[in-house]
Amino acid sequence: MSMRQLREFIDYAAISTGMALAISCYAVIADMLRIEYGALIALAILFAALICMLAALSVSELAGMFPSAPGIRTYLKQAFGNEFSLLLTFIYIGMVMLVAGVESFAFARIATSLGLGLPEPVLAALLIITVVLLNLRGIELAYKTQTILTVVLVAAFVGVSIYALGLKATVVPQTVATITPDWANNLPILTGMAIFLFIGFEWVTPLGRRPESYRRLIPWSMPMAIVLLTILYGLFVMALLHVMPGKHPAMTNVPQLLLGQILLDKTGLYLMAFLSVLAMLTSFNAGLMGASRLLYAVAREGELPKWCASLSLPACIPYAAILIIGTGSLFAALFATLFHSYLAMAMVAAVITCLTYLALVLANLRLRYIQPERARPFRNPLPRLVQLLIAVLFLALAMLTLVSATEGNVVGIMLGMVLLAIVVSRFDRVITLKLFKINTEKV
Amino acid sequence: MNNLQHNLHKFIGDVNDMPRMRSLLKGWEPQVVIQASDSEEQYSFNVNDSYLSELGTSNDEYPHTIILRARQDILNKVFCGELNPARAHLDGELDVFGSDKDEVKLDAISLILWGI
Repeated sequence: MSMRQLREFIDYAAISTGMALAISCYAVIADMLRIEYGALIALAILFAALICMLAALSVSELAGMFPSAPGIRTYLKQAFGNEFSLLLTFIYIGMVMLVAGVESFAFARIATSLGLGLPEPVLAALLIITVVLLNLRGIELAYKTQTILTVVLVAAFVGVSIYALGLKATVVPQTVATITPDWANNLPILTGMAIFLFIGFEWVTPLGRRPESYRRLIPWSMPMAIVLLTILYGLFVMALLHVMPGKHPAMTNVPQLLLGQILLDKTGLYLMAFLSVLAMLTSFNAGLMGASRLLYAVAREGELPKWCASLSLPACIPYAAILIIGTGSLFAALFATLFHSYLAMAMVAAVITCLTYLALVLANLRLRYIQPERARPFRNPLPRLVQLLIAVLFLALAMLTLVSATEGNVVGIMLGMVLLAIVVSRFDRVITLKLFKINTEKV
Repeated sequence: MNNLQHNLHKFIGDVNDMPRMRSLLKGWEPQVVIQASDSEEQYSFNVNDSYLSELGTSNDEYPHTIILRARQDILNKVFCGELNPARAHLDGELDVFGSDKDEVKLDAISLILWGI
């Protein structure tokens, strides 16, 4: 591998890691610790990472077949046709809005922990409005900046965890928490929740700079990102358990701030708050921008009313799509903060991600049958039966997470999202036709 | 001159003749490389001062390069306005190696030029 390729690979791995690295992940870890306060969490993260890594091999093969294509929409359309692809694309876009809601909730919690005296819904709404305004101005984080930020973040978070683990018994009088008798029941649901920690690693697939990038660089950047995230979150959990061996009465939705405070008092608190905001920068804006570009592309394709593809010229900013995604995210943020439904929303996002990866693994298998002649610069080395088993595993995880969720509104949110996606994907033509009719009549 | 070359020449001429393109292309100066995936054909043009240059050879060291790659028949349809490039891209028929902003800019050119 030449230096140029190595730099490119680091960029892709950093983008993939940065897209998944978010402060809401720490809120989810805190909730995982409420279910099982022990090292089982690290095992669940490891399982989730392994399954995601195996799915990444299928995603890589698909990305090589359709380089630069907007992922899920193209892959599923080729494998299963327009209707199914459209439905899952809208569910996926809805999931991004849910994650935005959870992320803004976590941001509001950080701001509150720092003593900012505004109500959480206001803080969350302010965050969403700021990001939408930035997007409408066309301000995006350059990929180079994102790479540097991610490297700094991973090093800093891992460094803090190692520092905590190195404190030993002088500060920590007890040993690491033990595994509870409920571990067998808890492991599947914890693994389902841990999938949330890896959401977004696949967003690197449309970003290849050259056709050759899809042979090795893009395919291996995703497993690399998953390994980095596993180390980061795994060490964090172990560090947290090490310095707080028993259930901490002050366990919050921002455990990273708690860890920082225990280690370095106020300095640690501010340091972790600063790192958390940086982590948000690597994923939040890019996630919303990516979703709005996907919505714009679907509208340009003619599957949504034309106004959804409105551009502000000459900067070419898809403002209608940004406003739609922004409005949805704002509702999600208010829902999360007003009703404290962030966990239910995070679990729904994890379920949708499991179903999406399931669909992608199956899409890859199906495309091998219906488009065998298509060039595949990267081929998933796993036997078909193993790939099929991975798909079954994703289905089982999704169902278990849905069924065993203690939060009452998980199923409700999930059903609401699916229904909304069905309505949007089925009725778009009717709406388009009506608008077209009105326009024609005016002319 | 083959079909693709002819369509690209016409495309460049049409874009340069359209006054509305000046503001759209302002401040955007990439090298656009067009590659036919089913033949060895490759063409390139630059955007300079809101105008497209004539076809030439590509420069590997150019700091801002966009690569468009597809079968020759797809490229022909895209560059004569018969095929919506956004649809071709979503269908996996047209690969666009560039930033999101580049993709939307190229899409806007086709929208203004042909209304598709």
